Amino acid sequence: MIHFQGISKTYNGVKALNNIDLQISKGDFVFLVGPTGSGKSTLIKLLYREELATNGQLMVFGKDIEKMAKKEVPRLRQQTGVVFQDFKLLAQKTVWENVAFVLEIMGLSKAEQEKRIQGVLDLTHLNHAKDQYPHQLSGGEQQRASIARAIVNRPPLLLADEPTGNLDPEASWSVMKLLSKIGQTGTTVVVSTHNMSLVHRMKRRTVQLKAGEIVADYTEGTFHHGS
Amino acid sequence: MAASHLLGQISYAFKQSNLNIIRSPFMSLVVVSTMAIALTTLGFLLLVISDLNTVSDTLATQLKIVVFLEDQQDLDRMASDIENIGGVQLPVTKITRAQALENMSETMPELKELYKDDNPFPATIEVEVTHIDRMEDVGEQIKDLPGTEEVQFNPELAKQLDQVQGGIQLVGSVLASILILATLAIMINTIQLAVHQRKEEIEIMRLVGAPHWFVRLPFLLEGVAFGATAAGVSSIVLLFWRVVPYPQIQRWFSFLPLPTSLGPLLGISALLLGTGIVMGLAGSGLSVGRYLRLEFKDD
Repeated sequence: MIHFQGISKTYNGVKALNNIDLQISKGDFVFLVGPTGSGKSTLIKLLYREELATNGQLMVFGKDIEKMAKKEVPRLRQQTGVVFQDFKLLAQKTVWENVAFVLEIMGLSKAEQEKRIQGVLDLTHLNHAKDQYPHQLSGGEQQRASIARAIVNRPPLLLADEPTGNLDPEASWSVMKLLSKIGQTGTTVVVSTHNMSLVHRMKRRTVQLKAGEIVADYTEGTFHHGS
Repeated sequence: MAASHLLGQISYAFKQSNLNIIRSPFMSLVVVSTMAIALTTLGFLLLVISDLNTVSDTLATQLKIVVFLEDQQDLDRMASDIENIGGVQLPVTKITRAQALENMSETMPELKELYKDDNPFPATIEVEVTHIDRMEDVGEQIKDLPGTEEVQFNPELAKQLDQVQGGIQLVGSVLASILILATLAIMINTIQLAVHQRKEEIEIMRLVGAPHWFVRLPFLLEGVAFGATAAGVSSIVLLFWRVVPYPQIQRWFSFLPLPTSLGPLLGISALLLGTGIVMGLAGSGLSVGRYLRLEFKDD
């Protein structure tokens, strides 16, 4: 489903990623770990074409992202749910409206929208907050709303860039369990984080980055805190 | 299916633009009032130029060439000859010798009795020109016609009036151009301010896969709403000016033929509406476009 081949990314002469080769299959749940500046976020941004690689080839859903026409980018993003560290919820919309917004883009009928939104609000335990605005929610609730928005159009790929970066340990664990649950439905999930203890507890495939290069690729259950 | 999706998306864009205006009342008020001030200033200038042109046109039509005919000349033939000259406003006014005596007798009744057997007044033709700058040329051509005894007109006054008209048009065009540019800049910048306030919203929209037209549409609709509302407010202010203080000004300058018609105001209001809508669209389109282009900075 995802294939990085010799991908490099340079910002103003500084290499953020260097000759990355990585393959992620359909239905995989993968953690990207590493210290700040190791290239985790850049790698995620390449996947939803927020950034373009300087060198190499990146195939997503069988398409070469680097050669993709501008007009195809919205379609790629509709197939890719993205969860951000700072949630990126629309402040002037309620939880329901934030989630519905993605379905409005797709032009779904009101009845279909209602069915899907109710489903993701049940999954993310946000029914009680559906009419609340982001500033009325806790950090964990905001992140769960962001996840609800990311999955409501049933994308085959879910990306989460430091989803627990702004959360306390309890909320972080709740978000990770939610992502894991989504992964069990067959969605491919890629999560970047520097929270090693969470990664250790989750026992999933873990790709370790350092200074823009992959230094280790641990299969399920082989990553240990302190590796 | 695809058509119903599209309709749903467009209806969502309409709903969003309404919600955005309602949810940011202060910003909406700032944008509309700034645009309205700019449009009112432009509209007022256009109205003044239009009125000055009307005044000078009216004065110009009051300037006539008066042609006195030699005795025994055929009034109809002479009138026909004059009407064949280019630049003459048709028809000319013919005054027979009897009518000339009658006209004079209105102010001096004793003349009627005095000249009842021997009318000394010549037949005359009053000639208006199609444009003031044609007066001297037409007057000279009439002088050359056989059968004219005397031709009276004031080429100097005509020239001065022509120059005043030219001056009004030149100064008016320069001022209007400057003001139009200033209005455009003010309106576009004001709308950009409103869009800038929501750049995060634009970013989120594109990150979740909204096509560019879907991101743009609510902003364009808002731009149109802002522009049209501002033009409406400007038109009301101009109408108020025309109905309340303007009649008093007319009384102060009663020696000038100031226009009373609301016709020019209608035209100017239509122009302001068009300008408001186009500027609203341009301001929104340019601003949103700027944030959408950021997405492809590496291309």
